[in-house]
Amino acid sequence: MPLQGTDIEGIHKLADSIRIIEGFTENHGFDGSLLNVKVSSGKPTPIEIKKLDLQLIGFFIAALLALATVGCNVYFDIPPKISTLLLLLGIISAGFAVMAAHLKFENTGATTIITCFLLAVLVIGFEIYTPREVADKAAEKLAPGT
Amino acid sequence: MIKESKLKKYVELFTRKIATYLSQDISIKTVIHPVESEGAIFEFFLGLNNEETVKFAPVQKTVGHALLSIPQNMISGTPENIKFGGTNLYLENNRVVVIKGDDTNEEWSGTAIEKDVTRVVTSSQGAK
Repeated sequence: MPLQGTDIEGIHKLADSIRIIEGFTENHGFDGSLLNVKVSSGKPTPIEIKKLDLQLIGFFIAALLALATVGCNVYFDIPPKISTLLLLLGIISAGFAVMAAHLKFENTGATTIITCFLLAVLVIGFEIYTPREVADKAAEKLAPGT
Repeated sequence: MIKESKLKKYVELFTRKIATYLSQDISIKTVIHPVESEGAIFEFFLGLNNEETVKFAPVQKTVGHALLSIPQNMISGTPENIKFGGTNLYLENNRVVVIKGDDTNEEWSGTAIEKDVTRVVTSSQGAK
């Protein structure tokens, strides 16, 4: 059946109204100050990378130093005075490690976990508590009454 | 796209990747517009100390129908008849609208999200 004039008009209208939009971008008065964009590079500046890396490097060095003090105390037969000094050094290093971790990760949960682990390693390594006592205390904190 | 986990994942990755470019104290409030057919629309509202919330708008039939419920000057007439493909971006005032036309893995992958963020950032400075 041949198409009537109104049918053809209808098809034209439909064809006009069906459009395909793909990969389109439009900036209609976006407030550019909301984004901090460096025109020269879309990636974070090297200074930011350096700052972030320093925090991570600081964390690893401090944590390794804390562990090294424990290692020295465990493996070498050292006098009590030096052992106390090592313990102090370990505590200071652990403190720096926790600070660096907090600056780096900005997550209280992660900081708490790191603090607990470093403290556990220090108190066991310097024989302040036995591993069993530490486990009991941890269980007491995590599940009181068990 | 009506799969909530995938929509939320997109928002999570998009906001995480764009966070490095945000000016100080700027945060993002998100509205997700899921659709029954292919694609979805995301509205990201950038603002000073915004609550970083993610809300779901009611499910629409198509991306075009979802566009009817969004204030926009990009498409005039009847957007429900328009077919969308790939990723379309519309930036206005403090709002970034991401219009996904497909459900393909290529369009929703981590690499695609990185590209979307780069496109937003590069086009954010050149308002018409």
